[in-house]
Amino acid sequence: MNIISGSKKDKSGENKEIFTRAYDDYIDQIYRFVYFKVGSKEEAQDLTSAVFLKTWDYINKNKIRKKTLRALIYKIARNAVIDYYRGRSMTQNNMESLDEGLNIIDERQDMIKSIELSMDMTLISESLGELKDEYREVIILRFTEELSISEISSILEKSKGNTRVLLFRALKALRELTDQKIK
Amino acid sequence: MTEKELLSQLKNLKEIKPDESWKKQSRDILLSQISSHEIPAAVESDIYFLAHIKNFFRQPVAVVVVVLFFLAGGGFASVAASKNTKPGDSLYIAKKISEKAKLAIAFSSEKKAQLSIEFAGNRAKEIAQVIADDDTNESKAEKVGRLAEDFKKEIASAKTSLKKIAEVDSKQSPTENNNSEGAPEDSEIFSANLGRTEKGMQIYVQENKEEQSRDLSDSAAASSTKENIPEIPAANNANNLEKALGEAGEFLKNQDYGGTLNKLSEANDIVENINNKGEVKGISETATSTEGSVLGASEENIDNK
Repeated sequence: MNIISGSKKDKSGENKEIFTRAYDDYIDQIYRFVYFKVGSKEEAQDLTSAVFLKTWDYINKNKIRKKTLRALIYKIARNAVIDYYRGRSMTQNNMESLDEGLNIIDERQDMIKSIELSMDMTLISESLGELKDEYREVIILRFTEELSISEISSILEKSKGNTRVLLFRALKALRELTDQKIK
Repeated sequence: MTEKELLSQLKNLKEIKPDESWKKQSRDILLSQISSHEIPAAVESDIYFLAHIKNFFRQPVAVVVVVLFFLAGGGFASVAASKNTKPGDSLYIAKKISEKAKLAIAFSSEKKAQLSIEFAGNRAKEIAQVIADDDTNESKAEKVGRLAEDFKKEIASAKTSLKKIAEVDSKQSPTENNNSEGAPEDSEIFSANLGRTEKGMQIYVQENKEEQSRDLSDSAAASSTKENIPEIPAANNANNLEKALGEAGEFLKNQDYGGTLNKLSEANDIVENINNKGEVKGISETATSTEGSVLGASEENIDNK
């Protein structure tokens, strides 16, 4: 591990510190990222824990740079979800329990606003659910988690150009879906 | 919805967060695990390993692969090492699995019959090994009893396979000029034997059960049990068994199914004998000297051969 030039004795202590900080900083978004892909709270929790474990493993075996740590964790999460789907039948609808997320929002708003919001949220959730996986993914990364194109392209292992095009198309598709529903 | 609204909705999705309680719990667990480097790997494999194994076996391809692996393993030291194990040895399970694998791969009834005879022989060897073991009386008798049951099952499977061969044979026999006289006769004798020996087996099974229930600690019962045993010299039991099974195998090779059946029922009788004797040995002291002589005699015979 080569971030700060510490002595070898400090390595595991360093790693632990870095890991802990990464956990605190990224746990919410990684959880969200996984949740939007698997649709179930419990699965998302299990997978997220597994992702961080793997991250710990990776940190200890490889050199990493702090700058790219987040993208790394997203990559690990992405692969974890892919593996997860390999291991089970793919007939289930991904977004079945996205409605769960709405409850959290309700509690935090006053009633009127929450109704408005939940109507819109339903719209968005439904539309998102109907999107292609890679479209949904790039939209979430860009507009929900607000990652840079640079970072997203690294996570998806595409060029920046491709990422931009992908994002453009995804947004277009989402808009078409929501427009259809509003009518 | 305008694009702006759309985007702000998307941003609102950020409100979706994991449960605080789970977050804290998971954090604590993770941090405690990473204190020693080894545990994370283990936990990770807990999460994925079992799931992976389960999913691996959901595909029939996987089952075939494992079967083939065990077959191929027949040539490797590890499975070869399992060859002489008996119940209670850790490799015994590997032995049993490779037996099952071989049977699964065998397609012809002849091959299956051959394998069943081989496995019956294995059970017989295991019985001898268990008897020779320095073990407590009760578990020994139990083991021998179970092995004897397995032995009978193998004999029964062999017979089933032989039956199938007989069916195929008798279907073909009208078209074969040379064997037209011999075949129907053979299958008659064949089925007659099947009936007889199964009946014979039943009787022995009942006797066996009665003897088991009479309880091992009763030496009076032991002496009465001795009377029920058919008169085969104790010293030659194990040896005769191997011989009988070997001959059964030979008959099978030569497609003399009637002969095979005869030998199989012989083998069955012998194992019943050993089984009874095995229980008896656990009880009375006089029997222990017989134990010694069984082994001694077998060794002698082997040398003399």
